[in-house]
Amino acid sequence: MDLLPSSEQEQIITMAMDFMATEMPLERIKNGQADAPSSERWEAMAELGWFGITVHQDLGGVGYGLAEEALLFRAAGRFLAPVSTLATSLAARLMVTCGAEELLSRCLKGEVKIALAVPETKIDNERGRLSGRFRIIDGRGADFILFLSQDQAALCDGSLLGGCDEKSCLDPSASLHIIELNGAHPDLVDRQVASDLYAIGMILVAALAVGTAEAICEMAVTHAKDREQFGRPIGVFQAIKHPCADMAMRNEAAFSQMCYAALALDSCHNDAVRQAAAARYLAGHAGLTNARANIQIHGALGMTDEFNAHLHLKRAHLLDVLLPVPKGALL
Amino acid sequence: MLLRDCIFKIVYYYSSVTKKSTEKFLRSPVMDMDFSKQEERLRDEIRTWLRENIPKDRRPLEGADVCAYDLSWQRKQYEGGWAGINWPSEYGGRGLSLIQQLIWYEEYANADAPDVGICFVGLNHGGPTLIYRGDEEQKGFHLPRILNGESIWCQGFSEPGAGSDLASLGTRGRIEGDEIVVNGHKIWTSYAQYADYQELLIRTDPEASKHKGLTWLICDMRSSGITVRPIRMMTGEHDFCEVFYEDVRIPLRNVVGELHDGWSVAMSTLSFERGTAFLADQVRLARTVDLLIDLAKDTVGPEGRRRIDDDTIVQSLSVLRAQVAGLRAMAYAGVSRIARTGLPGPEGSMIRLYLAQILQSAHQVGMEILGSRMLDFGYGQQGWVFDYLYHFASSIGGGTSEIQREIIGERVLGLPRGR
Ligand SMILES: Cc1cc2nc3c(=O)[nH]c(=O)nc-3n(C[C@H](O)[C@H](O)[C@H](O)COP(=O)(O)OP(=O)(O)OC[C@H]3O[C@@H](n4cnc5c(N)ncnc54)[C@H](O)[C@@H]3O)c2cc1C
Repeated sequence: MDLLPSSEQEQIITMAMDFMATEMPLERIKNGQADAPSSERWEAMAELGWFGITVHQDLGGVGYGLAEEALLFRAAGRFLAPVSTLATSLAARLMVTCGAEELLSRCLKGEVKIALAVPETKIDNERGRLSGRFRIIDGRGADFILFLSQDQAALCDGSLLGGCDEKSCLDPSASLHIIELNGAHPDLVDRQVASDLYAIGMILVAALAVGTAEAICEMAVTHAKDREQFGRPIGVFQAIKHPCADMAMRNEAAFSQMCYAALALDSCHNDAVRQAAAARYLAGHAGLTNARANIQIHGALGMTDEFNAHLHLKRAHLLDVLLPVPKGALL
Repeated sequence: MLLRDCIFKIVYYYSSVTKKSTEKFLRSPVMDMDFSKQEERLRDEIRTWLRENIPKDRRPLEGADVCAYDLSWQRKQYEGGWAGINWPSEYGGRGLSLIQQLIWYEEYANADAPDVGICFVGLNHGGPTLIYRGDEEQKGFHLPRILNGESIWCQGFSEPGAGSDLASLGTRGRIEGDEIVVNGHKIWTSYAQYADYQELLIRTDPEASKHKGLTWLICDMRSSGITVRPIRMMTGEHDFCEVFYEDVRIPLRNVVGELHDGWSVAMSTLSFERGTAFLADQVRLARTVDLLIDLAKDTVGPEGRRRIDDDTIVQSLSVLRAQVAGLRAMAYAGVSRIARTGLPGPEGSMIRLYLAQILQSAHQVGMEILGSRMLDFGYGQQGWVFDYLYHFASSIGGGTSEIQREIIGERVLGLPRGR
């Protein structure tokens, strides 16, 4: 039993951080918006093995486990990685289970970008067709849309968004469309894997949230050390220091639980879904709570559009609505 | 494919090559949630032993009954070879590794084995301090007695004027020949009324700076000049006491470590405490939340619905479940970290802080579930209300939550010191 990253996993973390820092730094988000990743950049991520990190090597993937994938998304989460990276990685699994080999191989090459659907109410999927009102995250330039609930995993063509205007999104790093479906036909459906895929999705959302929660804590601590008032760094004051300590504690719990849940799910432990739900809850809560405290720690600066604190807050709210913990899943 | 310029694949490639070709790689730590076969065997052994040996009757609250109960349970563990699981075997302990201790505590909690009670200080503070800093005579006399349930220890650190700021303590020790004459006043000393010995921290050099002039002594609680006054808690029990010292004569050979070096002796137990002493509580908490869920299923609320059908209760219980899982994962990560680095670091304070928060919110939820039933409580009556009242201690005793935040802020995050 060992719950800390191995040296090999540390390498994955470093590489993902380096990639994000050079290719997708937070500075990409300007004037309340960010461009969707270019196709070159998307292909570069695919080259790294990003979208198939857990796909078996025989199918062109890397063959790592969910823990490695979670560590990857946590690193990416620090830079508010596009939600489409998450949707694409999840959809790749669906392509595997549906035997959609050609699509999978295009996906692993970085030729398809996938958006994530957020149902406004419960997903209605009578006879495999989708109905209801959805918010589509990162639909701009997306080839497909992933619809995922505990009992339905479906991939629909991106043309569903045709004729639908893009809306501005609370999280400026994401793009938003709102669609109303009335019996849409998915290209791929798999109800059997839905609950597993949902649990994996909860862990990856948790990973993104842990990344953002950790980045926030570092931001707060740096400011607490640098900013001086009354002749001393504000980090001396307990009203600043203690919230930082609370952030670190929440992060430690969320990160440890993310690792534990990933391992549990990979080895099919019987309470794996509950562990995943716990990770999802703790990480989401850490992201939101840290983001709010961070703004207070920064004073007026924290409220500006020019400083990054608000980006993390808005990201935390976006993550909060992605693949939420189903009611009763923790009991 | 391996030649493709793809970083993860290259990492994977090299690691799979090295895994096959070098033994060393196999031994370097790999993230893994499973226990080894050997550890699972130990788990079975512990489970069987506990099932056959734990006391069947409930632990009494106070008086001679509780002493008899705790000591006989300690003796039983000693005879079974399970006393001092965390003590090195050369001192009669079981010498379990941290992961093995974790297994012990998990099984201990699952078996509903009794709280360590009055044996806590001897097993987790006094004994380990003697192991690290005591001389052969001190170790030879005391360690076996602690292990076999012959002697009870208490901890005399806090004073009316020295709580969080322990080093400001003022109980004086004057050296006269081969004795130290002690005068002063300790407080919050758990189980002082039952104890045979006390780890006593006093000021022996009033001229020296705060941390320099202290001495750590073994005090025989039956020495003349000691008066013990039990203090009643809001639960109704008398867990802790005030202790008064009037010209108490303690032989110099009872000094542990060097004279005036008591602070460093006291701190050696502290790092021990950060390491493992609270694993038991962490593990037990998961069980508490399970029981809380049962309580919500069995309790009918004022609208005639079971409390478990109330959305706000379900939400609170769900959050607790998630937190308890997080706490366990954190404990596992903590154990992994200590196993890798060899010593407990300040990260332990995050676990302590989290544990206190969850313990308290769990018991608050318990009160919510009970509704008006919570009023049915009398002093000393064990149950949810008693535990709710008792757990105010978890953010106070052994270093308050504020002090834990100071440690995290300064030693984990590197924020500037304010004091
Ligand atoms: C059940 C129980 C059993 C105990 N058993 C023992 C025992 O066996 N032996 C023993 O020696 N002691 C024992 N104690 C005492 C315990 O160690 C002290 O209560 C603890 O160290 C806090 O000291 P205090 O109670 O004097 O509170 P204080 O130190 O007076 O603190 C009061 C409040 O001020 C806050 N505070 C203090 N300093 C700071 C600071 N620098 N920054 C921010 N906030 C601060 C505290 O967090 C707290 O909220 C026990 C306590 C309890 C509750």
